[in-house]
Amino acid sequence: MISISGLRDLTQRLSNVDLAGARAGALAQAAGVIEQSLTSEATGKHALGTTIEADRAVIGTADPAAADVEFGSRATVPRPFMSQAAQGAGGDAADIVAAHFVAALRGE
Amino acid sequence: MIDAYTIGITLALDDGVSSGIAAIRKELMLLDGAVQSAASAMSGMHALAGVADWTRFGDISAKSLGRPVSTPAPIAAETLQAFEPVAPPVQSSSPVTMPDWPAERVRPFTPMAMPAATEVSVQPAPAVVRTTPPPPPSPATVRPDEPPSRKTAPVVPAPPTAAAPTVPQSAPRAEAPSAPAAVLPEKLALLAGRILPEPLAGTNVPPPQLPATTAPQRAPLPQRPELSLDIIPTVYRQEQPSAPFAAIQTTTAIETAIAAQQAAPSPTTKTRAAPPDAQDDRRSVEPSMPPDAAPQFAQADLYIDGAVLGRWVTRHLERQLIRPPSGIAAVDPRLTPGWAGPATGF
Repeated sequence: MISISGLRDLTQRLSNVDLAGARAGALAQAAGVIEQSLTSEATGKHALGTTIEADRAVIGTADPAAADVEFGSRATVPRPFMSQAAQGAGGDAADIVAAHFVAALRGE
Repeated sequence: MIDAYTIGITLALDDGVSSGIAAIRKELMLLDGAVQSAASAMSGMHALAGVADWTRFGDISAKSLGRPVSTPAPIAAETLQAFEPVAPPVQSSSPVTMPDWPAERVRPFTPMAMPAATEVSVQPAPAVVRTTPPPPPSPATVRPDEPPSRKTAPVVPAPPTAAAPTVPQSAPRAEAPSAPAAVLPEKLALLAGRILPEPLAGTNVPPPQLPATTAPQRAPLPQRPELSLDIIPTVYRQEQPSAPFAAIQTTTAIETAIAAQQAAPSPTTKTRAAPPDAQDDRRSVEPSMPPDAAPQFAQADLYIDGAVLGRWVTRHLERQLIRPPSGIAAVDPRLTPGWAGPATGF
């Protein structure tokens, strides 16, 4: 007597994994974490925006002064805030993406 | 959209999960097919076990392997002639001296391990498996090529004891005694078949020609009906896988009975009892096929809990997903733009 119902269920579940939804949710949450970190680093001086496409998310600002602050100018020394925020929130973003895909595989 | 920002952070994902899941699904489908094949094969085996006879197991195996099926051939008359009654060895503590040989060439004769056979031979007619009544004991049953001493030596029936019930020789053999009384003689006859033909067929040493002075000590020869029964277990050991077990169990029961008889020997068995060393030798070589070598039929059910397997695969995937597969999980500091201002260091 061999029971293979669980095996078939797993195969069926793997065929129905919503990878697109997991990817979008992971990008959105990771981008939110990075944006929150940028807000604290930039102390609210620049208006930040987040754009999510198929497989990538962009967190940036259209303020020209932000580039001068990030890269410096002839009159000012650079005070990078985006690179530091990305470096600090990179690990959390990776964990968030992995958690979303695991939840998708579990069918949650 | 990205061009709308003068500066920003890009978070990109490389999709390596879809291909991995596809590979896992393929493996699971192959596993499912293999399990289904195994299940169907086991169902067939169960159905076969329900209707098949285990005695034909060898034939089924031979058919599955494409080998010719061997059927037990009937026992030829030549085979029966090969196991004609032969004089058992003489039980004597002193070495037998040949009259014409020099003394230095004479070796003490060690009797062969045939104690059970000698004891079976003294049992009267109850050791019978045949259903047809054999001819009554008469001078015609004695072979003409037998020596005169064998013709004149009568078979002395053992006195009736509790361990070995006897039946009068005048009674027909078809009339089987009661069930408990018939089991022991039958097993004794089977034991005689296991022990007696093998040393006689395998040895090249002819039986010694005993002097006439030892003739009164020679035991009566086993009768032909007993020897004709002896060949049957030998054939079963070669053809039927379940025969060795039956033979060994029978031997164990017979040994117990023989020990009981030896505890209270009768006048007839006293002269035919084998020495203790011969008993030990017989027991050491008695199982012609060890029980481990015989095929054993075991049935086992295979249970695969798919839910447990699925959870295991999920945990494995989780670990693989949590671990960064390649590259870095942080910002590469080398991508930091250069400092603004006058170039230095040139």
